[in-house]
Amino acid sequence: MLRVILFLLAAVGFFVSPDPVSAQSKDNYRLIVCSTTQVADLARQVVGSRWEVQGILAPGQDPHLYEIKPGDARLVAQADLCMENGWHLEGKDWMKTLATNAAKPLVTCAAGVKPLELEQNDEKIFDPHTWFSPKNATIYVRNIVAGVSELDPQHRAEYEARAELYINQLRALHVWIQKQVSVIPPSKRILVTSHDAFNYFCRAYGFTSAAPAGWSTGDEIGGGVTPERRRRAVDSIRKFGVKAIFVETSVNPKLIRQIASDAGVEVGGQLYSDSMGAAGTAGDTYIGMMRENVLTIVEALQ
Amino acid sequence: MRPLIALAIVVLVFGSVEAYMLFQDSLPVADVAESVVEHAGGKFSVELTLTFDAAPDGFALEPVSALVQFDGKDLFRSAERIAAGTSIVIDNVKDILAGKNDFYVKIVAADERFDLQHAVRLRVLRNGAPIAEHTLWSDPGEPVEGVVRVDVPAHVPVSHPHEH
Repeated sequence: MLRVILFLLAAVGFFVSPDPVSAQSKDNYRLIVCSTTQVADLARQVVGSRWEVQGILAPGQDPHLYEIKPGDARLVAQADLCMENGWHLEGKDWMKTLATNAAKPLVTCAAGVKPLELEQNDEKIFDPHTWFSPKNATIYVRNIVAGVSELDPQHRAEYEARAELYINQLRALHVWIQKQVSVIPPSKRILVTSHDAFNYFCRAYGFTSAAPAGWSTGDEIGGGVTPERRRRAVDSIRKFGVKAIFVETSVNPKLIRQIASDAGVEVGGQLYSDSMGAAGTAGDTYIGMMRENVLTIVEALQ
Repeated sequence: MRPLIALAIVVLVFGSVEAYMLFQDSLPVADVAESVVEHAGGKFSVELTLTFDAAPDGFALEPVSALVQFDGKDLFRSAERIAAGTSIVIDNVKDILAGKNDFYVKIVAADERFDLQHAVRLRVLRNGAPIAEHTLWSDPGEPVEGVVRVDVPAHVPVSHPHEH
């Protein structure tokens, strides 16, 4: 009889007592949904464990070509805040569409960056691959701090403190990149990649970019492969005696391998372009991605 | 017998600790001596001379080109470009203490080449006369940033006319 009473008491206690995790999470749970892996990583650096950060794109996925799935809309519906790269990196502004449909606030991380303009058919487009300069990544961090602080002003100082530490790391990355690429003679700093994603990197570190595909792998104006671009890429390789060209993790390597064969150069390695690496790989953070890219470039071109 | 001895030792140890704690609690609270802060006499100004062009910091939450702080407060803050050779003069600096005073300085070079170091000269003047001078150097590729500690005598030295 005593055992029965004790068992009943224990069972009542189990069901009545609140689950500490869900009770806490219901009050404090906040979710940021980001478009790209890079934006998600930068967001995590700022918010720590105070928010959950989820990305729509998986490592290796191409933001230019991505098509929204029903699960994406369900995820965004749960978000407190959305973040995008912006400037049409997300093909046909799919992240903006998701956020607008769900009536969620949206942070455009590229806002405030000094743009590189591309002109095509009398239309001016901003090159959206702004994160390839650590200084621009700092602007992303500022925008993220502003976005989360607006919704959670109580913890603004905490977000700013994390951001300051991370920005110091971005500065160290910038100085390190300058030092690493200094071993490549300026005349040899020609970066040939699958698509025209590295202009901001080239501007920051004294490279010239040549790519057979434009700023987008999709069919937007200025994007895609054209015969003229392909010819220009091959001519650049031959004219400047480029030692190696590069495939990208999020773009089909077939074209660049064909160009390498046509021009008689080797493929120097794989670069992270529109996406970071999978979890557990060397390029699974923004800083890791930049580090590995620079090491690959320097090894191939010096 | 042994259990009794062990029990006696336990009672003795815990009893002693308890007695000591009760004694401590019974002592009167000591007066904490107030820290004496003496302000240094005179009118103070701070002067910084740049040996390089300064520009807003691209790697900061707030992109300043020059920042001087004392006692946690801004003495000078700029987000504009500043030419090399410019002297930033900050007059009427208040709350300078007799003894050690820390000035935080951050100046960001426009030329951020990784192999370049930059220097800033900081002078503290009392009643127009320099009383301290320091040169602050950056690490290669980094802003000039650091704390300059200046020792300020309490009183202005008095000069006696017959000493000359």
